[in-house]
Amino acid sequence: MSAHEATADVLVIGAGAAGVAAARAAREAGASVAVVADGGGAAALGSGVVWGAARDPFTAWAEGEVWRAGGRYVTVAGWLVEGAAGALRALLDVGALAPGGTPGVLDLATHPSWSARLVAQTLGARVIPAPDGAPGGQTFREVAAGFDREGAAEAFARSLGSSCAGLSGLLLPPVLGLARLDVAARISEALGIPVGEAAGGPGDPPGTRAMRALRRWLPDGVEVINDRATVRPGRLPGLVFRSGRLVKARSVVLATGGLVGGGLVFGESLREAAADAPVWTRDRRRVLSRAGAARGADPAEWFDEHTGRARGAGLRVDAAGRVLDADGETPLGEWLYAAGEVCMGRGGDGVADALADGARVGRSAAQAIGRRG
Amino acid sequence: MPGVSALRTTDEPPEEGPRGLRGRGEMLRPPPAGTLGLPSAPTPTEGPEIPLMTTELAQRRPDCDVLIIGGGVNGTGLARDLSLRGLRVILLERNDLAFGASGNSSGMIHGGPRYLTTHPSVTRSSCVDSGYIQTIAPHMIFRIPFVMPVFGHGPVAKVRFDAFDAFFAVYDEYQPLKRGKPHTRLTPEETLTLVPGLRERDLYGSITFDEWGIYGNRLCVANATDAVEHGCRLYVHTSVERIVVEEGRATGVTARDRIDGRAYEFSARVVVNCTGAWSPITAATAGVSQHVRVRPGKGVHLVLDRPVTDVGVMAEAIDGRQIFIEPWGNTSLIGTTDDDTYADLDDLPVTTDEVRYLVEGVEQVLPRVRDARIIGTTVGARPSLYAWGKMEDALSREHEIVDHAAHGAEGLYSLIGGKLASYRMFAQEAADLIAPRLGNRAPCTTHTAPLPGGDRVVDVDKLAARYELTRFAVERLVTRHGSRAEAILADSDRRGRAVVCAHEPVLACEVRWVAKHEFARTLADVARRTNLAHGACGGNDCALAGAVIAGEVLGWSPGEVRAQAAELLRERRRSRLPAIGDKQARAEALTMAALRTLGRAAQP
Repeated sequence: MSAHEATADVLVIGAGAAGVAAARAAREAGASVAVVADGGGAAALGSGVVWGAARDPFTAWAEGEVWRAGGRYVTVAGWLVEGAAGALRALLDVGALAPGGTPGVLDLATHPSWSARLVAQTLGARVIPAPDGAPGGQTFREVAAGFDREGAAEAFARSLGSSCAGLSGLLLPPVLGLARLDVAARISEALGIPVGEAAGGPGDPPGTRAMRALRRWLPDGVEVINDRATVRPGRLPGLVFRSGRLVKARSVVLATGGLVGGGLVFGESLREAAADAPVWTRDRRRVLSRAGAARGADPAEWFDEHTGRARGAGLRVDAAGRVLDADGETPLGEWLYAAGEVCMGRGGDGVADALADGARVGRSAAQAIGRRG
Repeated sequence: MPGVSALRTTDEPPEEGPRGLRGRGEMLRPPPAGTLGLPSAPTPTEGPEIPLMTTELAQRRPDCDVLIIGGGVNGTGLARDLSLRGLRVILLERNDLAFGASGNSSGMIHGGPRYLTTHPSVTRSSCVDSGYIQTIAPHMIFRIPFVMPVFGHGPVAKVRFDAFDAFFAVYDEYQPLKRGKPHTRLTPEETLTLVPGLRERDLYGSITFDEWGIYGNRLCVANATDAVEHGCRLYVHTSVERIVVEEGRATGVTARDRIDGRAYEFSARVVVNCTGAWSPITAATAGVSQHVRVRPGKGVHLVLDRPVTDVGVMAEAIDGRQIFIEPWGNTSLIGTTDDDTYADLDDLPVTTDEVRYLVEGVEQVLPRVRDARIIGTTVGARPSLYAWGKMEDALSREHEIVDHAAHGAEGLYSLIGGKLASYRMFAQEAADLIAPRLGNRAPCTTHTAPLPGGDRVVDVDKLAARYELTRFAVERLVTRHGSRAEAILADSDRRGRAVVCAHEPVLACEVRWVAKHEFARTLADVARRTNLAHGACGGNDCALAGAVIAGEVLGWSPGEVRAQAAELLRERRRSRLPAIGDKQARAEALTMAALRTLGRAAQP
């Protein structure tokens, strides 16, 4: 392959929510697309809860195939978590399970953070004893792996027997499958009532499942390169992989995530990993790396003690999503875009926002190629 | 009071378990009765008896004989001493037990060799009391041998080395008081065998000396528990708003519960201010703060995610002050800074600079300390006695009892200064002064009566086998609770023996026990007593589980459960923030994700 020949129109670094959405949008805008994936970031390690209502025109996406493919829990969470009233929405909002009825809460012996009694008390639900032979384990992941086994979902539903009679739905801890996305649907079909799961924490199965659903949602014809890449500028920009392999593209989208994803790295200061683009604090006053780097920037500048959120240090981008240089005005290059949590102010807004942002920027990157010719 | 010799005239050396330098986790057995040659309690000093009050507040029988303010080691130690003597005691603590310096010290009941040249009496009394504490609470004590490396060449290094050698020879005189081994001289080769990874360049040799570690927060809880079991009434998270002084006499206090806002009024015959660095603030409510002068010195420690060494290692900070790294359970502690502080004592900040000061200092002798991850910091304010014009580390660690009778508040005392290692002696001195004035002439028994759980040695292996637990889990449980570990396990079902916090490890039944029997009111209180969320995961894995279990006992609503979990996560994160580095930043971001999952309701 000639060094002047692009492998793809758009190279997306990162296969989390922003990266997958960017790839999909760029593909739909007619560009050829490749995605670089390197482990799981916030979407995979998060709880699987979707924060924030996705913005138009992506509402359909968030409520549609992505999240439905992710299993019923994510579907439920996607449209209920944020909007519901009450103090316990993250854990317990399973209103969809109980339209006017009494849901059941499964008393499964697993991680000690699961208390069916406590959940039932809040929901006005009934505690359902776990049937003999139900998947078990000290961690949610172990139990979820048990539900992955062929026929486990149906066997579990059968073993519940008549104990779910009269219930409007059944709530489980976050264990509805690890690799499989259809566990909830299978149990639900066998029982004839909706089945949901409560939110877990970082690293719990719903996040793992959401990640799988995202990958599955990449359109046909998008090449996935499992590697780590750094950006090399040029007339045709390229990505250099760990092996030294070089891949050229016409546009690059950084969808590398924040601290969790590895897009931002904290060393002597906060640094952007793939292109070493300048990182800003949210007040836009200070560039944390590259020219004028502040040695050992005070973490207090980008961690908010009180809300527990990142103050959103990251890259600055223009309206089209192009990464800005240290002057805060000029794009680093016509070809370098960024989306999702790597961008300033985006940290903490969650999966739905990353989806919307990725799609917007992916389309912008693809259309700009057309304009640039 | 018998001197050093009396404590050394034991024919039979106390039984100590395996010898050698691998002291971590080593259990100390209580010596056979009498082997320490414990001095009998001194005759109480004769003083005027305090008559019953005549003021309006005291028309009824006072609510208690002695009201103690402050749940640190001095307050709980005094509450225990007085309660064992049969006096009626109320103890009020503004935050939680061991919230201040007591729970955030280096956790050593040592003699403090650093005081040997300037305040030998502090070294001596600390060593004597250390011996007693080992007798009454053997379960929470563990041996920490220290290595002091000497660097340099030729005659200069030799002089330095010999000087340390001579210095520790003097310290050896005190070691038998606390059952410490004499110091040894090690060659560079021996030193490197003992501490792999120690800086080889210019290593001349090293000196070892023996110290004992103790869990300061457990010591406070044990004292408070024993006091309560002898009739003391304990209120945590209850802040004294005013010490009531009427007609020149302290007659009680008004207080407020900082969690539910309830107001209290307690009458007392004597009020004792044991609030450490807070003591001038407490004294101010009685108008006597100018007589209670302390110079709060902020002490910061770093907690590392692993025991970097098997023994403690001394180092010098950039300003020449002595700092150290010591193995601490599953973790390591690096300490200690010592700086005057004028900050809010309820909310002492730890700065990035302090973290660097400590890490860089230890790095000079132990470069691989950089491989470890800092998983937390601790901070407390020493209640050092006031002096103008001295450097912080030259301040006296002696203690002092201030009788405010001369200041227009008869029956009000302030206990200031002191060290963790000699808290018991300080409490005894105060009780010997106060009890006779209340007509109580019972002798002090705190040096012989075991603290809760310290009455006998528990067979860890047997317990582990009986309850199908790992030896490690049971050993940690026994370290915290002594013989009461048996009751904790007996009170559990299979689910209760699930590991809640894998890093410590903490069992579900321990969380339940602590919530039920150890006066915890928040999840952070539970964590302080169990080390829940103080391990490498910073609470990400166990905060919610701990809250669910504690909440069942404490009657928390599900919303409260989540709020408590979020609060603990936030508190733990705050303790790590100044130490954040490349290894920790990703974990911090995950903690934030966990906080988000806990919901907005749990955020302020």
